[in-house]
Amino acid sequence: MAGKVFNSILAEAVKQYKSNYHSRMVYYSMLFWPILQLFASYYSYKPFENSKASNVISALVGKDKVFAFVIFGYMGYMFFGSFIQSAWRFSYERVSGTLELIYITPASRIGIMLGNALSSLLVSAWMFTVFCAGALIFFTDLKLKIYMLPVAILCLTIPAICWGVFLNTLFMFTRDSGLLFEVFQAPMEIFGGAKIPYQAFPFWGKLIGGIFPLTWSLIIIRKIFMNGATILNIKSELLVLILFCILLSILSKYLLVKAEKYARKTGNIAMF
Amino acid sequence: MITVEGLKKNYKINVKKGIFKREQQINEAVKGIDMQIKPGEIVGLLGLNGAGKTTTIKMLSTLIEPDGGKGDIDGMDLIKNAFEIKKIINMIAGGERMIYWRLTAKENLEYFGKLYNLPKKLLKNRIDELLSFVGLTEKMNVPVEQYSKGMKQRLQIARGLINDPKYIFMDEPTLGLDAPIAREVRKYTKKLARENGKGILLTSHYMNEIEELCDYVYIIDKGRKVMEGSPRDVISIAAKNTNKYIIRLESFSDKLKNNLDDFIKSVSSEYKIDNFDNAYDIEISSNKDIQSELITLLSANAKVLSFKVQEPNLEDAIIKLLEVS
Repeated sequence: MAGKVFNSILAEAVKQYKSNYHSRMVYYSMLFWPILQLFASYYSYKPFENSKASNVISALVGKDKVFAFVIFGYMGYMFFGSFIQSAWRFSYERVSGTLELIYITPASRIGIMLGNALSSLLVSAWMFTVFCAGALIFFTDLKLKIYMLPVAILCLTIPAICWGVFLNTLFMFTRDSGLLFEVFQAPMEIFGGAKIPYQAFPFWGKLIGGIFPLTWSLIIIRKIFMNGATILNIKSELLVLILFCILLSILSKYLLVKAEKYARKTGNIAMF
Repeated sequence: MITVEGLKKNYKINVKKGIFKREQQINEAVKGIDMQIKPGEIVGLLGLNGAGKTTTIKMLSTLIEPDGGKGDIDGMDLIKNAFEIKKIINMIAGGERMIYWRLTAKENLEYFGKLYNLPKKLLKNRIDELLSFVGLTEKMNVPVEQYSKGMKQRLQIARGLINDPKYIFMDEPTLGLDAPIAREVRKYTKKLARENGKGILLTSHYMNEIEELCDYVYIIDKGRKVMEGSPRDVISIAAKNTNKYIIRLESFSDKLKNNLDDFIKSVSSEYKIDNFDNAYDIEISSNKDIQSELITLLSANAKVLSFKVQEPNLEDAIIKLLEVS
């Protein structure tokens, strides 16, 4: 059973990787776009500097940490974004007819979804490295405890993968996946705390933001990088994040079974 | 062996009745089909577009759940044991979709082989064998997007065999292929059944293909089985009275045309004529034996260059059957 899941993960991740990173141009662009994104985030922060909104943030995170706050928020958002993109990309399998061929095999369905999400790991890891290097250059007062770096990486990667797999399973129900993409993307960007601290939102905003794992990942990342937090300092947020990951995994597994049943009943697997 | 009894499938379809208004209707795609496919046998599934062929194939390949009837493959139930069945079946469809164009042939086969959880060594050997079987060994590292249509179809066949399935469902495997490539696909199909003992269910619009390959055929129309038997049986039962005469004349005068029109009308038959290479080719289809009258009529009015009586074929039989149904 474990071998079957592992083989499915590996097969799907390798296939997606080979399909999407098929030319040198993709690698060249990978050299530039995270750096461009880094600059973009810096200059989108600039007009914001010393503004009223900036004062709100500085009151919550400290005056000298507003830029670092924006940078880490942007990085987390981009990190999750690449997993969402990979989920969206999977919907093309329906158009090309290959989804039928995947469903005709006895492959592990959850393994396929995981493999698809993992194919984005290369891009995300590279972006993370560039942003971390940028942060170390820009901010000399980072309080990161180096042993907490793996925790930070895990707190970004695992929830992002769970979120990507969850979206993927939703996309299995419908061919109109673009709508779901929009429904989740915009609220996550606004209420997930990428640009504005989660604490600054009113109650209803916190409710919306609270349902996105990105929100909790960002709180943890910022605490680790900007406040030098240890496990003890992030334990409650970490617990929420772990619960989120478990819940998303159970939900994904359940929805995948439902989606396949639904597809077998309606025959919508071949519709595009 | 594959055995299905009374297999049914209904689809819900939405009919637009305005900008926001939709009316749901039920389309009975398959209305109770019985069928058997034995290992080593090629079975044809024939019918016009919308007859229910693809839906039947998808039900057998576990992609769609039947709404009624029962079916099993080697004793495994189509619904309850779908995951076990998936290990011993596969599907090959015509067309250029259903493969990854940016991957090479080898990468495509590796991917699908891993989905069947094949051990590494076995998968490597099987990929080598299959690529050689379909003649793609030399091009195995070339991205599929650079393949010709025929090469893509051959890769489809290799992909459909990656799990060494006991039963293969082939849905229009020669669709849109040039004659020599279609012949090659037919050759592979025959080999798979005769030499490798695979049970094959084949749908095709090319009747010569069905006649050449199939041991047994099922003819369906509007979701129902109309007839079954060997291609010869079907022809002899359904088209036993279908006579076709192919005649070549040196000339075709107005007088002959009038006489022929009157005669054809009197025997409730039909004919078509082509002017080709300074001669006239006439094809007459009739339910009656009109050979001697025809010879008398034609030879009295023109020089008859050739006169052939053509045996009815499967196509004639199916047309007749579907006209009746």
